[in-house]
Amino acid sequence: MALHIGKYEFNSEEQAKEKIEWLGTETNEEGETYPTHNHTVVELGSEGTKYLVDVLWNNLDLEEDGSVDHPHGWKTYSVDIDTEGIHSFLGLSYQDLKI
Amino acid sequence: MAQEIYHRTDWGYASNEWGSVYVNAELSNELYKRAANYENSWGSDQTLNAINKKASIILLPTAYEKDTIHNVKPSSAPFGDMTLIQAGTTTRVNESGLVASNTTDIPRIDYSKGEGAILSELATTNQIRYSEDFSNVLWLKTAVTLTSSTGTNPRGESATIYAIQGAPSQGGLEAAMASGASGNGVGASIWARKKSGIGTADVLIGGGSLGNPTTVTRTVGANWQRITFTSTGYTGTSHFFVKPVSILAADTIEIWGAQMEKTAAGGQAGRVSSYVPTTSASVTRARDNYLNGGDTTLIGAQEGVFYIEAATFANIGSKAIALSAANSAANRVVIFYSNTSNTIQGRVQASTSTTIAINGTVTDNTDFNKIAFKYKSGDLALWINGTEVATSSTAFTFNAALSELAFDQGNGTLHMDGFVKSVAVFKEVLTDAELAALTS
Repeated sequence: MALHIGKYEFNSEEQAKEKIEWLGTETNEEGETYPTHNHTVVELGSEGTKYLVDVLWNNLDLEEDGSVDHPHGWKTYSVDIDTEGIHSFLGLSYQDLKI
Repeated sequence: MAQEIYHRTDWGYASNEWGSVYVNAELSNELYKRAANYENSWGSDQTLNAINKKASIILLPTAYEKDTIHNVKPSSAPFGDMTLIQAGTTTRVNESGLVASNTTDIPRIDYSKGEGAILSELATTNQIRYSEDFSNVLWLKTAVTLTSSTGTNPRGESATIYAIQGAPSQGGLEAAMASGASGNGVGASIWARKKSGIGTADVLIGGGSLGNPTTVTRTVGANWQRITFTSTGYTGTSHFFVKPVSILAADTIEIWGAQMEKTAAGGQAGRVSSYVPTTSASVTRARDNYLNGGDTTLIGAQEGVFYIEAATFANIGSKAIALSAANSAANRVVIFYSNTSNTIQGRVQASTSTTIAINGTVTDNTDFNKIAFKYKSGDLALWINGTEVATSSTAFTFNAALSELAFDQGNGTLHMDGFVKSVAVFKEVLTDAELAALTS
């Protein structure tokens, strides 16, 4: 299992939710919508004019050179910080796993 | 009625006395041979003891190692064990009632509900920072007096323990959530105990806006216990709240391990899951993912009984345990916890297009319920806690062999969120008397 952590700043909550939904959802007969992917997406909320999202990426597709990259449409909004930030995943280091 | 627990016959040593097989661990107990860890044998030993027909798979909260939870049966290959994928660390309540940390991909046998059960949880974020350091400025001490001393915390370790005594004015010990709820249900929790003296003390715990919480009253004694508050629906909660009801020094309470978590979806009641410690940041525990158990040789191709004894964290919100063909929803036998409260559903989906769903009600999905789903074309029945609650005579035919046991709805979504005390798979249908015995 290859894990990576990404931190993102979207321009709005709506934009963030659109990107999250793009990762995959389905809706059952009871009207519940739920993710169909294995990533852990955490919406941290608004900070100033930005809407913050942390993601624990699980087994992202490998590029041709063996590296991994953000899923399509996410890279533009990624940020790279020198600390663990305002949110972390239990037992995992952003500095060690940053994408 | 047979009282011999039948899976014991697969082991090299047996006794007429319950549980004695475990005392003789050096003998040919296959679970001991295969598992790096083994616990909770006594409670599990007495499970599923009343059925003469042999189950092909029995999973109890007993044996595990990194990446795998072991089935009690079969005890020879193919074992049909489920793999656990879990990213990061977690916590559990161990057999001694203490909070214990758990490393990546180790299945958790949790004793929060008094008996050992496999803990399978969705991801959650503890929105409260400094969950064990109430001296931090993020904790607002309004109408409480905070003191500290050295004592034993709920991990069983010597540590700084904080205590709060109530004061007459309105307010309590409050902390802002890192990210407030906006339509989500919330669950608040904290370990608390009466600091000194005999008897008990009442404690208010809850959440809401600053200075305006919705609370419940919990009673604590001299021993640590986790007290909880769950919202009954969606909220706009922004703060965690706790305070002794009494302002007397004798009713001072000690506290540890605060947590406030939001439901993923809006409009749902709150839930409280395992503890996620925090310091300066909010922290997320990733989801447990139990999958790829079972085998075509262990699951009835066109008929059988699928049994679980389990409890969920919340009384509403879909989650499931399933037998499926190749991790697909096209052919599957599912025990669903419905998005309708107090409701459990048995569902067969066959050859993609045929879906048969039958529902039963329970007092509460968060209680341990014994559920058996009998599936055979034209003869389906859902049994819960000793009673046949629903039937169907609809015909069906699977067009792919059922091959996988997973704690999800069969296709890697709607994962189980709660405690699983047992799972059994029978390759043939059971009689009504056997189903009654199994689920009683």
